[in-house]
Amino acid sequence: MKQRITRREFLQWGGLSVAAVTVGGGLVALNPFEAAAEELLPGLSWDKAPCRFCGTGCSVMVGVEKGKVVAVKGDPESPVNQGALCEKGYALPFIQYGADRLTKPMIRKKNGKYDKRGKLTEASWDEAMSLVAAKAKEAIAAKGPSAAAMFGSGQWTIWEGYAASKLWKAGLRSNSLEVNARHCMASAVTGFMTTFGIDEPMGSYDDFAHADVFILWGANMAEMHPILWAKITDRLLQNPAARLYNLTTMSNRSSDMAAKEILFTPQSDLALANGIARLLLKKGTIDEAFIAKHCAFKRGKENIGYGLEDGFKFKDEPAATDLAALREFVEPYTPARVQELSGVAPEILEELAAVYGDPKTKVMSLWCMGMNQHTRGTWINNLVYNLHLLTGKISSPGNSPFSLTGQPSACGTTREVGTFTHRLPADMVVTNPAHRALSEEIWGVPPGTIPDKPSYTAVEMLRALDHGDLLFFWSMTTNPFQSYPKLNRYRDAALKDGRFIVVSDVYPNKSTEVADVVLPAAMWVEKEGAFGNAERRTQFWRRMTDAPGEAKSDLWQLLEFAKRMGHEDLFARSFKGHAMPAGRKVSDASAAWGAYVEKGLFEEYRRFGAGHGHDLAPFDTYHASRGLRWPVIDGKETVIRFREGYDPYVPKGAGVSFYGNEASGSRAVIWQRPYEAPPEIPDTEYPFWLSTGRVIEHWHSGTMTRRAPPLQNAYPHATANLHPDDAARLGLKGGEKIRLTSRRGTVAVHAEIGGRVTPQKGMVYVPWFDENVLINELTLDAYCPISQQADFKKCAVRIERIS
Amino acid sequence: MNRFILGTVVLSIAVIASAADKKPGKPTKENRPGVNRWNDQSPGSTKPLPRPYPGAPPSVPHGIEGLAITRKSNGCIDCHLEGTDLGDGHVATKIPPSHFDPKAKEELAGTRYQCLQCHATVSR
Ligand code: SF4
Repeated sequence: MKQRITRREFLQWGGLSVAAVTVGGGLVALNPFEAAAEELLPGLSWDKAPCRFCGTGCSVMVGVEKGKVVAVKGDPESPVNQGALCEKGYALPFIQYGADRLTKPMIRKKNGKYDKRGKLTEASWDEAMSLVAAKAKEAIAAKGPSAAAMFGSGQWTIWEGYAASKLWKAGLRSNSLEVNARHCMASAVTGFMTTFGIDEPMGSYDDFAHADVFILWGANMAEMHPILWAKITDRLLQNPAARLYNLTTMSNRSSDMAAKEILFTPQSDLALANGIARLLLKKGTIDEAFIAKHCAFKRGKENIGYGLEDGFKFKDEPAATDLAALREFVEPYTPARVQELSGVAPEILEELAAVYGDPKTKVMSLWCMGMNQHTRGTWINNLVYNLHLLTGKISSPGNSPFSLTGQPSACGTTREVGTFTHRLPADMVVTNPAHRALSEEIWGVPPGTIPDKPSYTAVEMLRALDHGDLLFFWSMTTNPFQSYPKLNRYRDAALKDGRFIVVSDVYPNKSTEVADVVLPAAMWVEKEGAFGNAERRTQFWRRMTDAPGEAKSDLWQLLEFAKRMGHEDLFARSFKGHAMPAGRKVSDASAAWGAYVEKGLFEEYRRFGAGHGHDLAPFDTYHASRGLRWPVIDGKETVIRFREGYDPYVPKGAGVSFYGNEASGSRAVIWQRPYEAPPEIPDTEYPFWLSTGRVIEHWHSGTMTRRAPPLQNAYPHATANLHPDDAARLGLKGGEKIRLTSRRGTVAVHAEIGGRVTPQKGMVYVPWFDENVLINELTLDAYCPISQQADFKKCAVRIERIS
Repeated sequence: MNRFILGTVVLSIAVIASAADKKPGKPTKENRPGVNRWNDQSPGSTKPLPRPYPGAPPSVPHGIEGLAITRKSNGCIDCHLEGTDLGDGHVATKIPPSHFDPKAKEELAGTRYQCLQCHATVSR
């Protein structure tokens, strides 16, 4: 292999010269040994923090000089990334220092008074928060508690999410709390809850070193989860027998390491999974003993709709079935039928079935937005779990169906804290009286405080804003007016009279554009924080720098709002007995309350999960560790759940226990879920599929990464990637400007042919980070009826050349 | 001399966007600017930036078309492993020892094989 070098060559490194680079007139001496950053930058103080970007959750060492982050390096002590970072991680020192950082609250004013048609004008915090509180009260008085909504984020710290949940559910008595994770992980959650009765992966990143075969189900990990991709690459290079299959709708960088790239028609992953299950059952390559002991069978409703009508309602009706019924159910998914739907050849389907069916091959299935942003997202999550359950390949090292996360704390904050309209902490739900009672007890509020019905999920929330049932909408640490599907409708809704939009953010963006009040936020190491990554690892960091100007953390803002809404006591009692640590400034929130509010909130939050599978360690433990994977029992983390010897919750002698489904005998559920077509498919008028996503350089809507020169320079604007045959047919060359149009909107964008992504024929791929190419004006707000997560991967568009 | 070039780079490259509106009046999307209008260049058309701080991975100053990184071959390693003299006044930067397997020191660490994960490109 080419990466081998000789001992002699290695020794030559000893005499490596120091490179010199000229910058801004100055000469900077640079040593190419990145590990030597401390020596090169003497006098910096270094402390650990999780990366601000993706759900991988790498740990970075942050170098601070004179109150400013000036360098980062990969944390060599972190088991997640072992000293490595991707290019976004290395760009972290830029994200706080963009020239247009928001530093003062702003109110839209005309003639010195708030006016929806006015212009954003600087104001004091007192004036801005008074207006925000007055408008929230006005909305609640007019239309009830659900008329005032908070839209948070998987980039919130754990205590920010927790404070929001407590304030909304126990304080305002409103379930109008949602998060951008609804657009990102909701189908993963409903997949876990319907199959296992408990959220989040059973395995961990340790599985990468044990698996023989990696099967990507619509996840371009090479760009979206770079450091995990490095782990897979390592395994593939170390073990010649290891293989990777890239099941995808477009040719991408992940294909470069694949034994086979398997292109399939959008939505047909449902047919592929059922086709594989059929072959497993036909050939008998299933683990009958495992199934008999640990699995149950169910089916649900079919023809379940797409959530396109406002106020769409759906309730599944699960019914018990058995193995014989499953055999019958998958029978129509013959290789020929699967090929018709997916375009995947029968021998490829056979090969995949052979991989899943071989008891000696350890298989990791990996997925993220391809399966989650899907109008049948819950179903496809269920169907991939079916393959691992039928073969017993689950909860053992290297046998691991792994649902990847997008955001740094989609797991830790939104899922574990439960910052969704229907949820409470530790997988509890507002519709369950026992869960409400426990929550009310911990929160010290009277029985009946928490409303027993969810109000709005993300898409329905902005539909309600459009109708006028929702009048107050506050977004934090997310950019909904760039990230929502069918964006035109919702941007227009925000501008309607009587709607009050508050945006807490760090830079001007498409959401501050439609805001009535803009609140400048503190970010990342400007506050003390905690994130939970995709492998259940909770990681803490300390405040290292001050926020610029008058910017304040989301936690400070939430607590200040709580005071003004009359809920000071709700929080004051959480902080009792938690004195500030001596000799260090924890955060603006702690300073304002004269207590260690982060610790108070976390210690209270911990009570929700203790004793039922979600145990967290005491607050101080996390500051002293590189994170721990829950459940943490007696100081020990859990690497694999549901398996005896790894997970203390599995009863002795049981071997395996899916204890999340206690009511059904601790069995995981194998579901009958059919293929159903997507709501909008290309036709003669709109002949192309449109799929959206990310690129390695940019994070979400680009608010941070477009201000980091190395990243922005590498990928300055979004492109529309096309198949060369389609481009030839349209007479298009790379770099030419084209117009993409769907039934909902239109954008101009540069065509890209032969770049890092080549979609299948008849498809165009556009990343959504670029506010000058608002691709979500084209996307459809159809969603999975069970998870209510929208599908950003499939709608129909036409392409015209702009001459 | 500014040893910490970060601020310089940010100031010289970031475009200051106005947070305030220019045309008050009817609230339409169009009269609410304030977003980052950076540049209109295609990926691959920009110039590489200098290393922003000591220890940061340098960006790739050349095109990468045709230099795929696969299981069997790595187009970057071909020149950068040895620090090949390209004969046109350019010498490829040698891969530093930090990238080699701490156990088998003679082998590039598998976790460092995907060069483009850390080294930003100015190419597509
Ligand atoms: S892989 Fe994700 S968490 Fe790790 S450095 Fe890159 S963006 Fe940050």
